Amino acid sequence: MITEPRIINIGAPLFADALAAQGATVLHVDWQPPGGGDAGLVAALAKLERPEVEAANQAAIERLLAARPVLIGMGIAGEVIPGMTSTTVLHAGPPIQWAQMSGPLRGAVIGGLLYEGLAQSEEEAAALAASGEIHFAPCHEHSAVGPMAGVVTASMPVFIVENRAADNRAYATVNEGLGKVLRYGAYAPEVIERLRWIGASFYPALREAIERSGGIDLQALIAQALHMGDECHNRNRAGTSLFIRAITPHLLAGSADRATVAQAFAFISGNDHFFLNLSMPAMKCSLDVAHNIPHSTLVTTMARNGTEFGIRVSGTGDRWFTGPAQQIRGLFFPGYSEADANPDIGDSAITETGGIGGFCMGNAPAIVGFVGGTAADALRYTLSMYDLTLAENPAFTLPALNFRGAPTGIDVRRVVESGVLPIINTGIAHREPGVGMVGAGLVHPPRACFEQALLALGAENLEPRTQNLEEEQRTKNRAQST
Amino acid sequence: MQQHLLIKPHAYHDSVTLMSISQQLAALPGVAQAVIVMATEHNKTLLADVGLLTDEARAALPDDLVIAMEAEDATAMAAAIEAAEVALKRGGASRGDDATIAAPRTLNAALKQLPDADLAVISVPGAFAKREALRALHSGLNVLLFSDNVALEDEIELKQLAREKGLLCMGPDCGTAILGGVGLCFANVVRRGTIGIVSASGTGAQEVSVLIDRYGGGVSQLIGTGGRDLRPEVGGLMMRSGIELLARDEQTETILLISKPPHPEVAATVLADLRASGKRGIACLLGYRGELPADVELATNLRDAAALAVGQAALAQDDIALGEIAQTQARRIPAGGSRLRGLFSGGTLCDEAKLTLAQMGLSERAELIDYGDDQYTVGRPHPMIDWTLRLQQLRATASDPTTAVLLLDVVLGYGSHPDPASVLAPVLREIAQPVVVYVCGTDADPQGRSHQIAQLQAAGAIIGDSNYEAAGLAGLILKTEEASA
Repeated sequence: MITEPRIINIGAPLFADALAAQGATVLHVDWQPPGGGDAGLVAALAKLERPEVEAANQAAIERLLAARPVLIGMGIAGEVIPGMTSTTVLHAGPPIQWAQMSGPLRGAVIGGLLYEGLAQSEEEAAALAASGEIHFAPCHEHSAVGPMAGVVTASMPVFIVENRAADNRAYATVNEGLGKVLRYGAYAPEVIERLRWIGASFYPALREAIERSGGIDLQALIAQALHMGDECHNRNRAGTSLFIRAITPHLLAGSADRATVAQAFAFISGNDHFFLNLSMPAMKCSLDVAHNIPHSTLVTTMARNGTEFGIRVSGTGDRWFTGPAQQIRGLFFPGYSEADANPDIGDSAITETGGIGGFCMGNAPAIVGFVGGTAADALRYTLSMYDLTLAENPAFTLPALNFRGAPTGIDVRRVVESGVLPIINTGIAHREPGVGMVGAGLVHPPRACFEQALLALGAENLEPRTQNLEEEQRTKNRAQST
Repeated sequence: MQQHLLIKPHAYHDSVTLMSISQQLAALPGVAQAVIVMATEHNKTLLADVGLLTDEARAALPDDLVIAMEAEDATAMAAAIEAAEVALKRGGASRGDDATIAAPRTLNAALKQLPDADLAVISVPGAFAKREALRALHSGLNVLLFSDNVALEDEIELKQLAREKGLLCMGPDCGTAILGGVGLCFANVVRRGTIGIVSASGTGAQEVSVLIDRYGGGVSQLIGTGGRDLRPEVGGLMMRSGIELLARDEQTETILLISKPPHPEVAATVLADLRASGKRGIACLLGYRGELPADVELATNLRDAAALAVGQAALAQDDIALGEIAQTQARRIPAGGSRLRGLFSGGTLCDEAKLTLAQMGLSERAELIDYGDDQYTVGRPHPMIDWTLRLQQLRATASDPTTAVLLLDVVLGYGSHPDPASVLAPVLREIAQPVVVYVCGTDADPQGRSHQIAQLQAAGAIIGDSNYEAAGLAGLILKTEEASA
């Protein structure tokens, strides 16, 4: 018998007020019609409110939370990334062909082909890209992630991050810095030159240092950076500093000469975003083990190719659900405006997918300034994400919320139900190839991705009664055939 | 066009603040460009790109602040410089508001904030109600489902699930419950006691609980089931759960069932459960003519149910006094007035009044409408909350020359209009006919029963002590007029 009811009120606020007036414990839900009231979505949601789905999500989130990403070394993409060939070009976001690519992605592809020596000029590179001889594939389908254009070609050095809890790995290139860089679609000679220096000088020194270190615990670094003003997507100042602290003794003790080491330090410390290319594969290998669990509604990928925004969901395997990439709301560098901005691009939303980035904005109030917000707004962004997520990550905490765990593991059902979209912090690329970063701000995925995914999950999750009938039918058929 | 460049040495500001200030300044009238940056090598490139990199800026150090602007004239430039100083002092965006805990938008989010919740009160539109109720039941919460327009098969599914899980699913279309002394949805503030109520009728339960309070008794728990629970398809699933719960509840000595006439088979089942509960059982099944098991007492109206439950004869109004009231009031009936018209907000109160008038042989002359019925609540709040429609209809009915007597209910308690007498009394003053009003409530209700009655009496209303007696008095006035005519 209920002796002292503790009540959740869903619907009329009047009833919550009346309960509060009686001194009862009551929490009011700011309810909205699920899926904007769309009948098909509501029906799919109803199908997905089942113990099988809960159990699958539980299994998926446990794997995500158990992940222990460690930076164990570096290698050459063509040698370490599964399925990589000399004519493969990996890119950010969902699958896309040359004809549909936006400016910055085209620029990065051209740069990648020049870097590989597969083309000698911009024109040659563009012709080769359009020829059908190049195999374009999403980084995400090759255990890799890349910020912005995310272009990875066979001879590029990559970080190798291993999930010690499951022995799976993820890969990402070295972050080149700000300004005119390949990931923003720049392919001028100095861009290619920098890539060559990374491959010839920086990579061997850093690789040796990482190996000497015996592995750098990225989960620990992210956890600390989150307490130092980073959210590990669009602010990586603390993470980069922590990485320098971790790598310094090993870089100094290695075989590289003094000039090479000095250049390496100057390069890392000159780039606030160096750590992004470590936080991203850390999240990627944590999420990959939660992928492909039948019935699970956990979002395991959010990525953009500059034309489309795509998500993948654990229970629907390698299928992408896409919608148009959105314009970013934010601040622009002097001389640039919204008219110059390319739509949302990059795999870096893997951070939000894993529960950091925009989801930890409460730890990085400096970021919210991009949209003229306050520290309180930053906390509100984080708080609103708890409505979408399956768990709170005890490893990544928010001091301002009394060390509450970060909202982690986006549930497709909760997104469609609440109408709240994940918040993503991101940089803004110029729409023309070769210009680079022109600003930064906040963006949401298109609603359609989640709605399509929900309908697909609903179609795959038959009513238990129907399943039983099918099972019965199969049993009968077997009985008859024997 | 003029340019202005100002270097502030050792004046670090973070880049986001500076971008924000740059954007604000560039938007000022007459300002063509405004670049406020730290003098890093990267930023010097940016200044060069927009033609603002002077030698002075080129020589600046990374922790020097550069304010570079281009404006149409000296006035615009002066304004921009001043704005820059102000913005730099303030630090970009406006500050000062506090973080508030975001209201949850879903049941799941709410459960994270209130993990030991044990009851969900759900009043979302019917099309979405099943989903929320399923979620609540699967999360181990009891449910009070206020929403209506829920399909019968969904009701059955929800109630079966609730029984499997040992939970209550009160409703759909359940308007009243009192659990652990807390009134839910439309409920009155009544004394706590030993009488447990299971009711398929919201206002029926409100009426019985306020009368129990008035007669000196108290309520242990009041469990609602929704109006369709005793239909054969549903089979009384929640009334049975309610009886089982009250049978185990140590506070409860008497179990009182309230319903419109149930299906005979369902009635047999719930009455058998009632008998098997081991507690004193009273059934108030309005209009029920079927069999009763031994040991179960039957009440034929809500007043008698309350009186029986508290163990005393109902405090019936003095017949002589009633006759005098009827005599006086009958004189107010206008010439040509022959009909009794009732405007109700409580469905069961309306049904009980109809039964009472039928017993007096007045069925043909009484027209009672329940404005709480679905057909009157589409797109507007319930008449217990919003009096607009009923007052409009009251005026129209009073101006009909055939209306002899008017009968109204005023339901108090949580959820209802905060001061119904304040809106009803002015309309009563305009009305020539006798108006009998029943005020369903207690003095402990937020609106205060005595306070409401005093306002209504001052406006000429005749007050019935119970709904049953109000209907009887209205009928008596009509009959008195007939006798004297």
